[in-house]
Amino acid sequence: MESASIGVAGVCPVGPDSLLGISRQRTNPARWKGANWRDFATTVRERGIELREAPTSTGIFATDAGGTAYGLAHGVVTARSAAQVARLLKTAQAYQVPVTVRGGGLTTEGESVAFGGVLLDMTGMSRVIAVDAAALQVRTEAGIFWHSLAEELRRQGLDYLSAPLNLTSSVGGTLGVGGIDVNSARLGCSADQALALQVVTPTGEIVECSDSENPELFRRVILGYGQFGVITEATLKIRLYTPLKMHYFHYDALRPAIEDLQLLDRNDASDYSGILTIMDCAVNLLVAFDSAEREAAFTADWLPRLRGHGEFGFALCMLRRYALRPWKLAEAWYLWQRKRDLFPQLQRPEYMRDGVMLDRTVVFSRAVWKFWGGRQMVIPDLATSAPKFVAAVERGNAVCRKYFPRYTLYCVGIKLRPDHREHYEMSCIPADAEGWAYGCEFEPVVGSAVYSRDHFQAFKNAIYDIGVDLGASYYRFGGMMKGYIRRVFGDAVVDRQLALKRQADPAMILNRDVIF
Amino acid sequence: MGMATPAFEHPTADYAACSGCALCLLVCPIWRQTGDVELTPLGCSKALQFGAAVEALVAAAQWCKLCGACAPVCPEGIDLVGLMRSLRRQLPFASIEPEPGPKEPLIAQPAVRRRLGAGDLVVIETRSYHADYERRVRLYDGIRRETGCMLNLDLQRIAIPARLPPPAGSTDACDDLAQARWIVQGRAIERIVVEDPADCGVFERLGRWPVITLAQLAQEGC
Repeated sequence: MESASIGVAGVCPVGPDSLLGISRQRTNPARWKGANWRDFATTVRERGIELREAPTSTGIFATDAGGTAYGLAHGVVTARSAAQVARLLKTAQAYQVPVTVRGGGLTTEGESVAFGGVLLDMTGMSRVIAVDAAALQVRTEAGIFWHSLAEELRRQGLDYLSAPLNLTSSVGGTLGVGGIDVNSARLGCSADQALALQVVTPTGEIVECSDSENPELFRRVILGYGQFGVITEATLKIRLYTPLKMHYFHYDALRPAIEDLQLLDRNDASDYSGILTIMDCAVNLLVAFDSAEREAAFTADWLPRLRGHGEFGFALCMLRRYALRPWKLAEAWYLWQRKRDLFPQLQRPEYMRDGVMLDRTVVFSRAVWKFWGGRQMVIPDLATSAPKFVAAVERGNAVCRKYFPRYTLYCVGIKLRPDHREHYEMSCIPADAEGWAYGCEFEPVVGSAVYSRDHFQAFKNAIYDIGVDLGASYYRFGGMMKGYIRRVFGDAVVDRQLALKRQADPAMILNRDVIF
Repeated sequence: MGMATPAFEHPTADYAACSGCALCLLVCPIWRQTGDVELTPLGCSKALQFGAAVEALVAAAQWCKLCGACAPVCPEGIDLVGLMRSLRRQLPFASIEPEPGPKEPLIAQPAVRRRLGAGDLVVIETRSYHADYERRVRLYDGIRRETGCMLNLDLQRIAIPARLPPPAGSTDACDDLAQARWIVQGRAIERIVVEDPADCGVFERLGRWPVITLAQLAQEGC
């Protein structure tokens, strides 16, 4: 029986002699073979659910944003209501048919790719249900993209608190994994801003949950990587909309930039903060403010302590650097080109007004896709406690250097909620983090270069190994890298979670290839 | 010899470059109305990448309004309008491809701009706007700063179409009123000024604001 093998990964048949000293297991799942499919499909249709099986329908979802994992569902269902999702999951339990839930499909390790069974496309549930401007709360269907939510909120002068800098992340998907913005060092991750959820459990019950109502389910589903239910609606905290004033500080090394980032975060010196590198010798610390008062306080108290340069000072720095290293002129040329192309995109006049940025997510998301996007995106990451972060970034940077000539690092802090510590077990928040966790993404700039799948995988493994070594975590975990989950969290934690999963999902149908 | 079914040609636009970012989905009015990815340029591109036959994309070609919203947001620069056009050309019935509006919109005239104020919602004709996006996004942004008027632009500065004619060769209808309600939602409007006279009707049906065309506005002062 298919489900009997869940949680017991087979030996990896690929390259058994590679990565010596590291135990390997099969992580890219085999396609579910389709037992009971025809009976299941008939029953699903009898229960009024539209199930599409044409190759065109399933082919659309053959891969995710990572573009390295490919799989085909037997059929696709577009989510339309909680009742419909409940009917689907009940039927799937009865027939033991796997269901893979997909929001924006922005996973990079195949977590939202269906290797057989049903792909449940949540984007069909994209309505904003109610906005309470007085209480600063919104109730929304969970398949909605954060940007679509922002479109609605902005008409009332409101905004979400924090969400990934990506226009097409879905609310439900984000709450299941974290959700990090450049204001997360102050406001926490998106998952910590959910007040209540409507969840369809793997056995098809529709349950409302929050910190006070069914808190156990709430704890599991938040940062639960889709294992304990499908989020169909969410109540989120929101805020009044403010444009932001952005400052960039340039560094020629990683360590001082990271130390300054952490200094600002610890002291609540800015409303937004993060690091984006062009190279490890061209590091940008971005700092932004919601109000002139906060900006003035930063300028008076913290600006003098930062070790970064303004644009002119950094240009002098680079002149000196490359005057002494003329054999690296190609690198200098790359830096200059990248700056010339990228920075104007961050300041397009239609998204700015009197020096303030109107829509940060639009600006950054468009730039991210334009300058870093592509059909293959390999973005391993590390999430650590604050004290371990510099070491993690420096070691990850050394790995990037070894594998790729050009790459980008993106670092940001996440303020933790002490009352949500139980939510964080086996999640992107490392167990030893206090106050803040920090995440760093390592993204090669692939461009038109061609790399083998093995090269990408070896690079990712080298980054993930740092996580194991440091006792850290990963922002994106699961899918093809799920072999690392047991290594980084340990058997006790994983087995406890697996037992809970088996209890909640007896046939192990929901997002079965993601974590266990 | 019997009647041969004309062979479908593979579209030439470079759908192969589609990374699946879905930025085009956000601005697609058909997706907003139907929530069906298969009916969008994203769905077509991904299906073609997977080897779908063009015949399987007929529904998407029928539904597409060629409003052009998808093209300016594509980070890969894929000619999504060209892709949908080439699909539509192969439909087994006459497809309607309205011509874009004039090269220079009336609103560019200073005399017209002077008659706009903060209570005006200017409804941009989407096809011309998106076909000349890089220039017009700045033009209209300047007009908004100058006059304080509102525009039917979303946060990506893509124009939201006011009407969605029925799919080519089909009797299915989109909900134009829902589209118009979305455009006016949450805005402090005193008057609606439309670039395309065909947009008057749907806003008049809302019954809350006076609706005039930009051409009428231009003539007001003459």
